[in-house]
Amino acid sequence: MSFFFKSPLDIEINFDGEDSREIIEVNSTKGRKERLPVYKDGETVKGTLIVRTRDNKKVEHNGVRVQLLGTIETHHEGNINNDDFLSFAQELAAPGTLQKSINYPFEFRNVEKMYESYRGMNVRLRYYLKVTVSMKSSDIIKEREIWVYQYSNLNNLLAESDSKTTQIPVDKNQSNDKDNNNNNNNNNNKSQSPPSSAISTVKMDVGIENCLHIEFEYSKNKYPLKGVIVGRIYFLLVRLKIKHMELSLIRRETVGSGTNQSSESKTVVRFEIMDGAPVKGETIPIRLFLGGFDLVPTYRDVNKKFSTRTFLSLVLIDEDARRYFKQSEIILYREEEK
Amino acid sequence: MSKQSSITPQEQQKLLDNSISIIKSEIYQMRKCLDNKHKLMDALKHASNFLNELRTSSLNPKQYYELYILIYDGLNYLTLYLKDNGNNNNNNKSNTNYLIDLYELIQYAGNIIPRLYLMITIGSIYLNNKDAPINEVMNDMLEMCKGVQNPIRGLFLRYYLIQRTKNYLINSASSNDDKTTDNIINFIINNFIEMNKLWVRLQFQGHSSEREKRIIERNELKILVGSNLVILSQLDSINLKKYNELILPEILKQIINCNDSIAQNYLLDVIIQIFPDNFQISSLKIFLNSLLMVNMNVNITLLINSLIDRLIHYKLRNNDILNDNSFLNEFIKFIKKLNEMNVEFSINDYCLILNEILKLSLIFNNDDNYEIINLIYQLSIEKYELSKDKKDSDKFKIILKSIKNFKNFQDFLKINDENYFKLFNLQSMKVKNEISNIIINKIIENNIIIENEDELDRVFKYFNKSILFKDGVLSNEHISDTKLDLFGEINNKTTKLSLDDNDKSQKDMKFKNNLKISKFINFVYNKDINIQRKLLEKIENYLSNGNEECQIDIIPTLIYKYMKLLTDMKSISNEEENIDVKEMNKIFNKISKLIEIIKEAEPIEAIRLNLDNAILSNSINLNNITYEYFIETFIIYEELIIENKIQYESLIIIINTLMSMDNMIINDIEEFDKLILKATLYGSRLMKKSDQCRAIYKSSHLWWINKDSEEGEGDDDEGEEDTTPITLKRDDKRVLECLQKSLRIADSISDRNIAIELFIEILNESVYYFIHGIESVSIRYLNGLIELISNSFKENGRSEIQYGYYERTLKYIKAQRPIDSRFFDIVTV
Repeated sequence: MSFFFKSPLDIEINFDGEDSREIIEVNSTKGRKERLPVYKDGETVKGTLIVRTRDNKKVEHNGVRVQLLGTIETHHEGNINNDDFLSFAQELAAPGTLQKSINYPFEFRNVEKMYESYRGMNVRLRYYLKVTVSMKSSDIIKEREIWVYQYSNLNNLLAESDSKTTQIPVDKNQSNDKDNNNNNNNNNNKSQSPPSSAISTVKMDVGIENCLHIEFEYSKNKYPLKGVIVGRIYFLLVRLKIKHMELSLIRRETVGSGTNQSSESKTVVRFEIMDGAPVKGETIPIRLFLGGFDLVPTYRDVNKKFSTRTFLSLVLIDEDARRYFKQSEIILYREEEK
Repeated sequence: MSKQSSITPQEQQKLLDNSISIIKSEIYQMRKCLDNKHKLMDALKHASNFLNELRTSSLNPKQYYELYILIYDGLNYLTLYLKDNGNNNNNNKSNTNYLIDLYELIQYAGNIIPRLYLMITIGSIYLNNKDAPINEVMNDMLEMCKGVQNPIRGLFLRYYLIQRTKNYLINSASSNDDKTTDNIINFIINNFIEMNKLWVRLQFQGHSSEREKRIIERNELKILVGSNLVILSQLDSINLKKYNELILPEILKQIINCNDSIAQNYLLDVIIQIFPDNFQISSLKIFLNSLLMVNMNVNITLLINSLIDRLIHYKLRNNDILNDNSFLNEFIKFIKKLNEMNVEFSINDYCLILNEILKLSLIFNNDDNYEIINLIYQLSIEKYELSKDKKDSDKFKIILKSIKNFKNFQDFLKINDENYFKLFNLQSMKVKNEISNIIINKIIENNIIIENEDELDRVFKYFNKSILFKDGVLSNEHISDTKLDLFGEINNKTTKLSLDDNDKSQKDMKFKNNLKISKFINFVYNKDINIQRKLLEKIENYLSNGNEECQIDIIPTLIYKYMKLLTDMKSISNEEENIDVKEMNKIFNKISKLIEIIKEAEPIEAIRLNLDNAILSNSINLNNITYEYFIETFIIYEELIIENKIQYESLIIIINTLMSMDNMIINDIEEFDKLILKATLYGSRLMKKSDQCRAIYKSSHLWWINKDSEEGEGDDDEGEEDTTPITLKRDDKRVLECLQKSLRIADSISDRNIAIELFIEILNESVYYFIHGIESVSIRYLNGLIELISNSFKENGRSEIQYGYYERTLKYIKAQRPIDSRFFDIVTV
């Protein structure tokens, strides 16, 4: 990030033990892959700054500073909003003259990183180091992003959770408009709310009167990102000409709060679990490995700025391409690997 | 599937071709990735691509199978690669991990069809790994396959499952412990159940107007379902216990519960065909019970037939192994239950099944066999009694015909036939006749000699009710059948027409039947003449109660049997020097009475029989009887022979017979003379002159009878080469009178050619007498005859036939000259 065509200084940020550190590949805004080192909450960020002058010229400066910043960057109705929620700084050099190359070690000890890094549709949450060499004219700045994982285990999740597995009737989203009025009012919701807070199987009993009646069951409502969703669907009544059935995982990102709030959803996974029409009494198994997909942990409220939630949606498609679906939220969390 | 109907066959073919080319190209790509670069991930991507082609709903089962075959080969290549790769990886553990990872990895595939095919591909390799949690993998594959509920795609997927795991299943079931075997059995049965459900469900896909099309499709797919059972049958470690307690009940339960006739028909037959013979026998009870529960449209009869056929072949191949026939009772129980449960069960099918059971029973030699057979006859009667339509009786014909299959037909004469006879009596006359014919044929074929009264009674019991039956039941029945027109009234016109036709064919039939009985009578024989006589009397008695036609047709045979009996009596009494004349007389009297019965209908036959008996009685020297037979003959000749040609022929036979009555001539010449006078008189009364002429010159021989010397061997002259015949009777004057008379008659015939022919015949007779030295026939007489003939030729011209005959006669005369000098005096110009 240099504003000059040719900066008189060349700044390099190196982290200690970078070679052995876990690296994550993320898509950059420019569509390239970026490789970023991964840090945990509370982990010390430590490294060395190398500042070189070009062509061994003497460069005068008004001091060298390094910062560790955490920012939430939101896009809302064309406006970009930056909000720093974390800021640490360290002065590395008093004003003076630079010649040749100088190494400045730096260390931010046991930094609390409250949130997980996130790149969403309208929100970015990023952590980065910012080196500023103050100059007479304009400062020379160099940034480097790090990626932060926020691990949680099931226990603290349960403690915090006041999970509201929402009760939604089978939503029917008809692509065939002519039949629109047919079943809309017949939605028959027999959902049973799962016992709150505990980790439990999710059981639901839904249907459209005289048309379809299914019972489905997922082993859990909370999954680690590398977990697997296991469940089954039991068909009690089938009068629809079902063509196939799929599961989707939908990520809903909500930005802002109050009246300013806006949400956007993205289907992350589409997974066919049944081909053809079952008959009454048939049980269809569900197994969906999550690890291979681009999923993010569930965050209900990130610094009052945004939230990310994931919904598991069961979709039945009939022979006339009408879609019948039932969504329920699942809680995803990042589990520390042993 | 519903969209399929809107696709034309051309479009379908195009889609198929397109899919085939995609599959081929993707397989090629996959192989390239595996062979050159070991890029497994890319290879799996290509595999997933070609597997996507199996997601189509637009092809018919045959076309889908084409894709399946290609894909099977493609996945086979992948399997071999992964196996090799695993083997190179010597460390077993890392190989296991590698497969576990792979098994999980391919489950990310978004579409279920490619995902499951790949899962099965990798899972099946995994099964061969000793450290693998085999049971879990097997169950997992099985469970996940439930995701495919489309019948055709599901059937092929599960077929792939069973094909891929087949080797593992067969190998492990034979080498491993009981629990493994049980797991494997359960695995296959489970897959079978699911496949059958899909198969049955296919029937209900699409529009109901496509029902026929669905049936065709289902038949094309049935082998896929059956393959599960085939693999089950190939598991070595299955024993009877497992089959009866674990396998069969489960399979049958599914087959019964699916309540689908196509499935039941096919699968039950598969069970019959593929499991070993001894399994079939030991599971008979379970199997037959299931047959009672199948859908109405299932062809139980066909299934029973193929089961019994199988058992029959088993018995025939392993006669020594299979001796216990107690399983037959299961069939009896089955048919009883079947009848109880479904009174309306078709009589036809019922009979077919009973007949099969009969067939099976009959190949066993066990003592209680005939009890079972008897039971079957009883069941038939019971079924008949339930039937309201008495015309159904004919349907039981097949049961009655079963006696054809008796291993030893002699048994038929011994078994308790009470039920059989009852059933027989329920039949129409036509069927009864047919069965009687079978009985006779079997006796003849097997050369069975009926030698006691019981056996004879047994057989005639059937004949009495059929062929011999007295009332014209047959024709009555006929009228009631066909003579009613639409309005139930007798239509006279057609009646007459068809009656004539039918009469003829009925007569033919009756005659054939009677002929059969005649043949049969020849198989009645006991060498004890007293018993034989009783047997013949019994037959006579039966015949006397029979209808007229059969009497007429059969009596001649009986007479010849009596004559044979007489001959036997004679030869025995010759040995014992004690002729029981009284008894013989009685028999001859019987014969006469029998001839009396038939003479009006068959006068020629009656004459022949009388004459034969004359010869027989003459040979026994019972001259009174001989005389009686001739008198009887003459009466028939006079009263019943009307046609002149037959008169002539009969007369010639009479003359010839008279000539052989040696004992009568010797012992009772007066009576004999009366007879020959009568015979000669008949000759002169014949209608045609040529017949008169011939009859009279033939009668000439009645006055000059020789007996060959060999017959007189019993006399004191020890014949040596003495061939000179003994003269029994010689009256030269009478001989000449006859010749003269015949000559006169011949001369009075206006057709000279006939006259000349007769002259030559008389010349020949004369030459005969000349040779034998009858004085009245002199050289002068002969020369006169020759002159008469040659003059006649001059007057009438030489007709070739007669002249040739004449020349041959002259040539003969000339040829006699060297032997007998008297011939030189005959003028042969």
